[in-house]
Amino acid sequence: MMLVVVAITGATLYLAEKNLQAKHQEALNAQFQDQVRFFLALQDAQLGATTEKCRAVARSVRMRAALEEEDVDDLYRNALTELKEIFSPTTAAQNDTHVLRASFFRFFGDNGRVLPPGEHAAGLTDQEALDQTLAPMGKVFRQMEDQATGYIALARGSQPTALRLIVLTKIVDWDNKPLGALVLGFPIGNENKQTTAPSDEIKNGIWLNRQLYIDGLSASDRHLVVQHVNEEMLLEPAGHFFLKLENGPHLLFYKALDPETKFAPAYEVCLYPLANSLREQQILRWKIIAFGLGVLICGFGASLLISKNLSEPVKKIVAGSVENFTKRQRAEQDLRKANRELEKTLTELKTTQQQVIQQERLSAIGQMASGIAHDFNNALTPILGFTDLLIENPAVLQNKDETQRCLSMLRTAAQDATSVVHRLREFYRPLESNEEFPVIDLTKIVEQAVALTEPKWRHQAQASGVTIDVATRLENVPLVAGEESALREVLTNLIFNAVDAMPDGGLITLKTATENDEAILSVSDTGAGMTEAVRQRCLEPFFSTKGALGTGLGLSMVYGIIERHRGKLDIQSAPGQGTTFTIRMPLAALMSAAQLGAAPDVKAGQALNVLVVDDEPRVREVLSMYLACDGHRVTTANSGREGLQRFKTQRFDLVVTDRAMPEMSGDQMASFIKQANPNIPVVLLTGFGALIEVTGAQPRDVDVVLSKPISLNALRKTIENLLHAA
Amino acid sequence: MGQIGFSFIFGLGLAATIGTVYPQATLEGRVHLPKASVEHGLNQRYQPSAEIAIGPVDPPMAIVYLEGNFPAAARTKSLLHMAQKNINFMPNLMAVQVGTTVDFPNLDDTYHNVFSYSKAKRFDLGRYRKDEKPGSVLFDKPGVITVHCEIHDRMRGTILVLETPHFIKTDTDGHYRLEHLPAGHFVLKGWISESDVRERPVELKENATVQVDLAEK
Repeated sequence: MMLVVVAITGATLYLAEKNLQAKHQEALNAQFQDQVRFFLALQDAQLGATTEKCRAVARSVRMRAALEEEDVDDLYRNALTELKEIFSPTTAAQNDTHVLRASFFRFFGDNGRVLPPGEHAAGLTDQEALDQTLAPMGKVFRQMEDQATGYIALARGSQPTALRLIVLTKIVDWDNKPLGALVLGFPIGNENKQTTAPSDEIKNGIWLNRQLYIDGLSASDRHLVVQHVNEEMLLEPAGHFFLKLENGPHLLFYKALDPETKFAPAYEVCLYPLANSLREQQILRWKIIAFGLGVLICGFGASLLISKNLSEPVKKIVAGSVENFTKRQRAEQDLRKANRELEKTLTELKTTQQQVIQQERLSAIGQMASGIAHDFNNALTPILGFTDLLIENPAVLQNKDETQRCLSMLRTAAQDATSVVHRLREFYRPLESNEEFPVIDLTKIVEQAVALTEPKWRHQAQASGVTIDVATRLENVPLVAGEESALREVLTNLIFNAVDAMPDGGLITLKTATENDEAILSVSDTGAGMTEAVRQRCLEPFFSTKGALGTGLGLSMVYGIIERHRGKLDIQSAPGQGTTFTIRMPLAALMSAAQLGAAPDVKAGQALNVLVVDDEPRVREVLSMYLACDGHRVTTANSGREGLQRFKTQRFDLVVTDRAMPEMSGDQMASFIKQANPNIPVVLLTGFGALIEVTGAQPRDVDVVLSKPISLNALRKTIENLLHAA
Repeated sequence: MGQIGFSFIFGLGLAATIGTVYPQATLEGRVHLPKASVEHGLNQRYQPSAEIAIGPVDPPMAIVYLEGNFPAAARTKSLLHMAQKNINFMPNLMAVQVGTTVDFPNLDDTYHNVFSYSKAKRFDLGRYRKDEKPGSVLFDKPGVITVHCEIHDRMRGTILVLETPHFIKTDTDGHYRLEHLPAGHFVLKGWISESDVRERPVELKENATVQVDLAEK
């Protein structure tokens, strides 16, 4: 009996201790891995915008020119301007954790030497010490790609503050030969790490070049750690070992921060005290021994007492293990919470990084504005030219053909100008909840788009000696609500892109189908495909992979149009695998066949009495001519007041008025007219039409708002609709 | 040395006696030119949305010049141009004599910002468009001027500011011909790039044509 109890107690003791120890070590390891992972992710996020900026600076023509001429003064002067957002020479604490701020920067010449900044404040004034520290890097930059990161230690010291995170960016000349390099040094923030270390007894540090940079370690302890680390860490990327320090045993974890680095490898090092866990082990040991003894003592006593007393220690053990369990659970919860917070910070950082990149892009958009102005000017030039011609040479007007030709040129140029503005509008035009589209047949649109683009995919491709086939698989006939011309533009754009992606020929497949109340329209090609990075950016305005041939507007327009149709755009692509654009649009509620018929050609209907009010004589003239063209009788007025007077003395079927006029606005006049006769339709014609569309502030007493300039057909159509509604 | 000094004095004397009549020695030959270097695209960051034509970069050419002490003001110092056209400098290599003014008209529909950090002449013309008055620069010291556009990193021009009035740019095959040279001993130089300047001593005689090729070093 006694032997059995001793054996069981011993076995329990052994297993429990082993189990506890393994569990503890496992938990610490998980914690350490998490910590390193988050440290790296945090650093990556912080560095993202910075490395991008460094690349931009390295590409700057002024930097290159100054380096080439060995003009150090201009080099540092320009760099200070370019780096203003990411460089502050003070070593004061940095509150902004979102963007890393460098504490120094230097340039290397093509001989690998550091170029002294002279009078320019480039941080760290001890040039000699810095030269020494940076010297090995002079060799690195010739062998590396365009950029490398790593760690260096600035001066003798054993605190992590002596370390700098280094971003080294190569600068190449016009012929792609290395000219030099830009190096930025960032202080390593300690506060980042403390968030993951719940106990301040845990010590974090960095191991670099056989030196340990860590806070709060006594000299003898440090010596011990360094000695051990040098023995144990033989270029292993990660691991851990036990250490006996002054204040008890510790577990040391290490992990290489960037195994690929071109610099001296740096390791994150973490020391966990084991005193607590040992104490826990001891307590457990005594509990089990006490329990065994108790069992023995009781075994010699009466069996009654045994059965009576046994329950107590068992309860205690149970309570003890429950207590342990709760403790562990709480620790795990804390860890999870810390992780969640880090996860949140990381997301925030990513957003900030995106924003910084976005800003960079906006400045590029500024550059584009001049290009847009150029397009617009191109359209205006013939307009001015032909009008000048017509005004200055009245003789031309006698020649009917010549006049006709001039006029049609004018119209084309004006249409082009409108389309420039229209293209831009597709970007800012948001989803309009009250926008009503007619129900249309996608199959027809697909067929039209294929026919429209035939010159490009068939003839142009054949001319360059490749064959591109287009296959359509139009399963169902999905009906959707949409704007035909816009959806045609979407398809045209996608087909053009597909053709451009297949310089060696291939197959374009257009499919339609219905699925779960959604119409699906897809355009696939067998072309070059996109990398993940390109795929993610391809919808951005001004992003283009076609070089000077692309405007970078096509796909953003596609996206804008689909958004406006409450649709979704999905892109699947991989390099060499081709690309598939899938558009999902809600199915239109079924409508009667009559409503689906092609839109009737707009023709002049019955003759109407129309009142035209505008303070601009030329607009009045054009409108009168338009309306007279269709046989309507037109009365004009040059202000709201005059318009009302005319309205009182004559009978009208329709009022067309400008909005912004002196004395009385078009809105006010419309109110008076509606008071007098609510059945008379009022059309408000305004240069702010687009604005009203966006803000949704259509005046109450106006039936339709049309934006200037307006075509004859649009006016006809509006009148037609108004009369139908009436 | 004595002989050179003598020839030089002789040359000067000859020029003085001839007066306004041009000296009649001629030098011609060929500079072996290197192949065109890397393709120069356009930096994505500055890509314009309008379709601006991007012209090809000129193939490598050389400036050939005769070094020696020549009477001043032998060449007319007219206004020369280095234009910006199709995101290129046109021409992208030119030689001028010290004291020449060069202007930099912009013929593109986009902005350019021409500048140089070269030691012989440092300048920054700022941005201007096609219809604006172009910036101009007086080159008053000899040296090699590298011209950049801040906006377009593919653009690069070189202006050789020389003291000699006798220089010419080769054609794309490297052929050159320098006329109206004085007789005497001189050094003929061929400038291809800063790291590739070739030279040969030449002896010129009145009314004679000397053939000199400048091969790769």
